[in-house]
Amino acid sequence: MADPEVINPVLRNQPPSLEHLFGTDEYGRDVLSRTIWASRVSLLESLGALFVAILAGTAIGMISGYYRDQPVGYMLDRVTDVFLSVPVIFVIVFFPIETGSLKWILAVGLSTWAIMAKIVRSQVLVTREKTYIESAKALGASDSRIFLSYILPDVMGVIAANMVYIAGLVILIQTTLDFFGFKRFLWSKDPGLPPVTVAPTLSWGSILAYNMPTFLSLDTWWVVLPPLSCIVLLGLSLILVGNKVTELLNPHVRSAYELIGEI
Amino acid sequence: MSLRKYIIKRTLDSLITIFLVFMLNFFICYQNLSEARGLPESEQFTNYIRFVFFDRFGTLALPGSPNTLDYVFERLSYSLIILTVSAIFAILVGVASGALASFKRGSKTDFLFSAFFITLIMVPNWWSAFVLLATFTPPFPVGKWHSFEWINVPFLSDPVGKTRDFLWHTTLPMVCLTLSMVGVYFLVSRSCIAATFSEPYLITAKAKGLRRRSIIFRHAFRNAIVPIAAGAALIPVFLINASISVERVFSLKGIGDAIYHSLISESELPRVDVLPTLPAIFLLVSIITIAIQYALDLLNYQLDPRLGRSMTDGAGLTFSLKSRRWKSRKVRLKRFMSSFMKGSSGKLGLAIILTLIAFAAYRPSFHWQIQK
Repeated sequence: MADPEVINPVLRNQPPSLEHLFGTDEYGRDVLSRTIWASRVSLLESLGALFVAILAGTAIGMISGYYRDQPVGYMLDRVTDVFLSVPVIFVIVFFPIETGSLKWILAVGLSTWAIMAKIVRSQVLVTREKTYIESAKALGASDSRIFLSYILPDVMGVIAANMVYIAGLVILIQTTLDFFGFKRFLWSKDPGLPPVTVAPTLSWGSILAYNMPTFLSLDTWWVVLPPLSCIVLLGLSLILVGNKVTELLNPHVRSAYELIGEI
Repeated sequence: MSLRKYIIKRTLDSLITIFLVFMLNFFICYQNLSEARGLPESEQFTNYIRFVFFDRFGTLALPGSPNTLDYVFERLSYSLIILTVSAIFAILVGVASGALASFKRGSKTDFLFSAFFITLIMVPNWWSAFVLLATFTPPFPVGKWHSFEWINVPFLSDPVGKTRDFLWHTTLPMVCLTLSMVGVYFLVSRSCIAATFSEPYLITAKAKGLRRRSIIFRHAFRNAIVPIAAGAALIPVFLINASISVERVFSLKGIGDAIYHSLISESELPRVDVLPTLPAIFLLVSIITIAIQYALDLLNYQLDPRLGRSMTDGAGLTFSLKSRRWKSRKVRLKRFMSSFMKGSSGKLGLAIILTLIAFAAYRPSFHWQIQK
């Protein structure tokens, strides 16, 4: 397979052939190997951000729902409201870690957790009133045991079912950052120095963004189709996984699917 | 919890949230301004309070622009219209197709709908914006809110013509914003309707021998409206992100463009000193989002009789004992409107939305740009 970074000016904008399965881009680079190479950054950043968002959202949503009547829960709910209402892009751009994939994982994850926290909280508000929580409390179960063994299994189905919205938002933010080239700029904290410009990271979003002019003028569909279909397939797979997990974790929903089959 | 208590609680919550946003704005945005750098924190904070409440977010280096707040209001005016219209379209189309897909669950239609809408969710919206732009630009104009001959015509002198011109210019961006939202709403409504399938009253409906269509559209769908309406609170989060890229691609001078240019300069490099538009936009957009969520919560309280009302109230009981004969659509609409207008929460929610729309529609557009 061709090197993703090697340019070949003779073979510019070649349509798919046996040698280059997805053709070449405007610099003669092999699109297939570039797409595969880009999936490393894209998957790491989007799935990592998704994981951070779900982890933070679940933890904060569960605590704020369970301790609804106490100041901790109330303030956590207000913090959730804050993150649900501020424009995400400001939080990401001024996130206090300097460089690297870790910055984008943490920044995107920690600015989109609020949706998941809201969803989890509304489920916990229902769950905490159920009788088995009460009996667990009567048996002397500690709070951590109630969280992990009684509430979390009930919440897992909701998390799996709503994972796809967070995934859509995370991938949208990732590709938008690629598109505007926010990732190329590293904001320097020293006001005297101008921002540092670095070469764009190779990701699906940046392949799409940087090949947009060629695609629109020369109609080189083979350059943009692979990264685009990768993004769509990532979403599709997350939805399928989410649906399956929901069915497995939630016998309630499973019986509902069977019932609607009969109706 | 009575209605009055609920309103008081939600108002208090919103005020606390606004205060937290105010503080976050200080730490995230204001401290990056050039005028705040190098000062001690306490002095920065007093400057910040004066900056927000008395200086109207400082001044911009733009000719004829008195202060940042007016600039941001002008930028918000048209953006709010297209964002609201596209959100409403996304909700209508998404809910309708979600109901249809759950009606035909497991069939080929369901599969095609799901595949289509999942694709719409995942495709980045600047991509679909570029494709729409490249495909439809010759008939549709791009890059302005109004044609040249309509800019200086006041709205009230020819409302129809001005609106038609505005729609002609904003159809493509609105279609693009709708496409970026509709998939999420399709999935939300589809799963909300599916969640009601396990309720006992659907088994009852089936045992009564009702048709499948009537079971799903009259029984399942009505009860799914409450979680669907609650899901509308997620819309602003998606829309603000979408508006940045869509307004950039269509080069419209709206709030998304203002957000972009508060971070990136005209020479496409990040600004060393961010503009005072940054804290202004941050605060205003957050407050508008909080207001929308407040209105939606009150609407939800009206829609869901279980929310906070005790079961022994009798309200739910009399409702179910009423004879429910078939009524014409007009009568049903009238009844819905009358029950919506009963009490003050629905009116309050409607009033807030109408105020926002009026606020958006009232601001005259971009005069300082045209007058030089």
